[in-house]
Amino acid sequence: MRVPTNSIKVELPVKQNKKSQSNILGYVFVLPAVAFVAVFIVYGIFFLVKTSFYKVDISFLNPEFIGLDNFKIALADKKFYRSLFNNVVLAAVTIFFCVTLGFLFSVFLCFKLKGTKIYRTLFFVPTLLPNALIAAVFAGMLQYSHGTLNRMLRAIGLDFLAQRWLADPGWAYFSVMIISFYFIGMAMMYYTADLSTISPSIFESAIIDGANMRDMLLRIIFPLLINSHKTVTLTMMLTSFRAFERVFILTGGGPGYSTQITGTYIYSFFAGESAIGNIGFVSTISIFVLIVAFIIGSIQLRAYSRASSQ
Amino acid sequence: MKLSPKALRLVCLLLGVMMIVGMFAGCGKSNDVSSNDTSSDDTAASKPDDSGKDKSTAEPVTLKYMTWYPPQNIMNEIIEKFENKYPNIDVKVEINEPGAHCQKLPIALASGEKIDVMGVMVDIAKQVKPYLANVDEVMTKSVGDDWESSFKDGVLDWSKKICESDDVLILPTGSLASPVVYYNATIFEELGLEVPKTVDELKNIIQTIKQKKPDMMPLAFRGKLYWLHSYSAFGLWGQKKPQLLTKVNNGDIKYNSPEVKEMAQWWLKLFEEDIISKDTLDVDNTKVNEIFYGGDAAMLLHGSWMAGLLSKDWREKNGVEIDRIGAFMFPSIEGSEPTTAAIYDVSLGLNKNSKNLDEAAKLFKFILLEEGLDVLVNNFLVFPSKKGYEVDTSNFVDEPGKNGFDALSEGIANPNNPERYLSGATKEFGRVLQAVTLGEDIQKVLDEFQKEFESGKY
Repeated sequence: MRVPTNSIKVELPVKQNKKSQSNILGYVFVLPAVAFVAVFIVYGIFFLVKTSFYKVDISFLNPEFIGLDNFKIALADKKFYRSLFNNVVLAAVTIFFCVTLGFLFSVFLCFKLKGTKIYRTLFFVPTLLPNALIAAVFAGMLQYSHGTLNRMLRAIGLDFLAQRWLADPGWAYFSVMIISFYFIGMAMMYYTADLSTISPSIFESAIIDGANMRDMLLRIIFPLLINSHKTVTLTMMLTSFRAFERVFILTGGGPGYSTQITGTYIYSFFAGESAIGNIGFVSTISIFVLIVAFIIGSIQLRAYSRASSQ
Repeated sequence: MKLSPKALRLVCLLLGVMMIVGMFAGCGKSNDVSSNDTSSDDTAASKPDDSGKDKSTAEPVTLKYMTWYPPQNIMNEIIEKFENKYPNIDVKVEINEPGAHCQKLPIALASGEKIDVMGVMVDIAKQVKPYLANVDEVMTKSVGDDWESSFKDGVLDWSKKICESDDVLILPTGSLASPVVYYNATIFEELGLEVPKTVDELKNIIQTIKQKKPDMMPLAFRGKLYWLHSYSAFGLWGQKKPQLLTKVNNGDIKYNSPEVKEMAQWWLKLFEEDIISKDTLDVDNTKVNEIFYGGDAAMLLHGSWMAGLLSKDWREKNGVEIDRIGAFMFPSIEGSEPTTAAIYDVSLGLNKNSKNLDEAAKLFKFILLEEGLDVLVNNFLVFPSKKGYEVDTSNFVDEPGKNGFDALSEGIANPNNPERYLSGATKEFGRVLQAVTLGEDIQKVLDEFQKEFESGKY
């Protein structure tokens, strides 16, 4: 059918007009998000980079340009490396708990046993609570002289087991790490969702082929949940860089420097009753932490995307 | 109700615009808390009427007061009395934790927030100095030419020194000392113990308490707060080496010097001899109160701002379950005088950019010299810097309370170091002292810290 040319002449400008109107409206809708990112992310990073070249306190009066001095100090700072190392250990422990216990509990809770919903809720509730609250509860429980745990141990005649959970460097390190167990609920949520997508026919075939429970767990379920492992590992790794409340409330980074992580280390220079107030140095180590977190995240994503493609 | 697509788009558009505008508005300077610029011409002449109310300010004025001290309930009492006296002045108070105040006040001033009156901690005096009004002009106008005579000798010199200024920019409400020791007098009496005069006597008292009351903490200390190790060690060792803290703060003495090492060794000895127990290294502000107030500790190492513990009324109001509490200065260390570090503190300053400076001056005067100070003193929160102020000790119903108050007053009047201020580095040095108590090699950790200090990190 031949289309009359006059109708095209009329319709084209209307469509273009509608399209451009639609584009403008689209930009307007995106603008709040763009503005948010611009103000709080882009400007935030720009501000970090800018102040890292200055020696300035929190009043931001009389900043002194010192070039790369803050970077040189940070690179030679053993305590910064130690806090970074503690972050990595904390991340490793959290991931270990999540990928082992989180995975196992999720699988077992998929069995049609009595009370699975209650158990699932019990594991998941702590992830809904603020980290600060969990840390405050544990800080009260683990206190040496008047903490609930030691009081209970003493009450049942197990005085020898009562330890300085937060006052001894070794035990404090252990306590901070072990509380990671409370974060397996998040991992269980990912695993449970992913498990529900596995077809029952796979398990039926495996059983017919003679697979036992161990084979099912390690050779079938574990590899099939690769996407969840990826999400859990990355989430927990990055979460450990934000474990500030947990460490700050439990130990304050102490005793001494024993449980210092990057978050508490940065905070000690920035705020609180003990603030040192060197904002330039705070910015510098924050940049390093950002870079490290970015590198770790990238490596993990690459490794997993390779594994997925294979 | 169902919106048409066009209306829906319009609503979304409006919400989007509102969000953007709101976000950028937050980045700008805040509006003046008071919409009225009503500086009165001469408030010096204004006097309260027969009802005790001063209505010299024609239009209502709102003042913003940002501080960290005193606690909210005490502040409410002060502000209520002030607003009752000056009905046309409304005071909006923001009280933050000490650390948050140190962080927020300089930022608030730098961003142009309209703060009229501010609590100035010694730690941030230099940071807020550019915003402080000359107190001399304000006080001359509101009190008179001889306003300086209202304060104890040395107050004005201290203020100039703290702000590194030739002018008086801040004024302290009173003095504070730390550390001092509070004790449960009931336990002391029960065990036949007397206030110790030497560290050896204190050690014996602690041994007695451990033997006869094994479940009781002999001396409660907030050992989790690492910076408190610096405050306490320097504050107490000042008995042997007065001014050591000031010299270290100023960089005249190195952190790895023999003088500081000697102090660190003494601090370690306190823990090794169990005078301060390592069990306290996880005790913070909240826990220490819980332990001592609940009667689970025989003694408490704290600051003079806790002197309310000596008063029965205060104890009842604050749920302290102890009948009798006394206080003493930390006893003599190796033959020295039992003193501690004390400074003028809880200072006030006025924002020179305030549009309500005259009204702010009234609040300033009210807290420093008038009924506001009475409230602070009656709650034993400061030892006043106002000259000739007689503290009413009738609330101290028992001997330990009276004696304790006298001991604190004496200690504050004769401190071993009148500069309790810690630099950022010296605060962080508390972690080194904390590590020393846990067995770290003293010389090694001191050398490392000095190296860090020289790197410019602090």
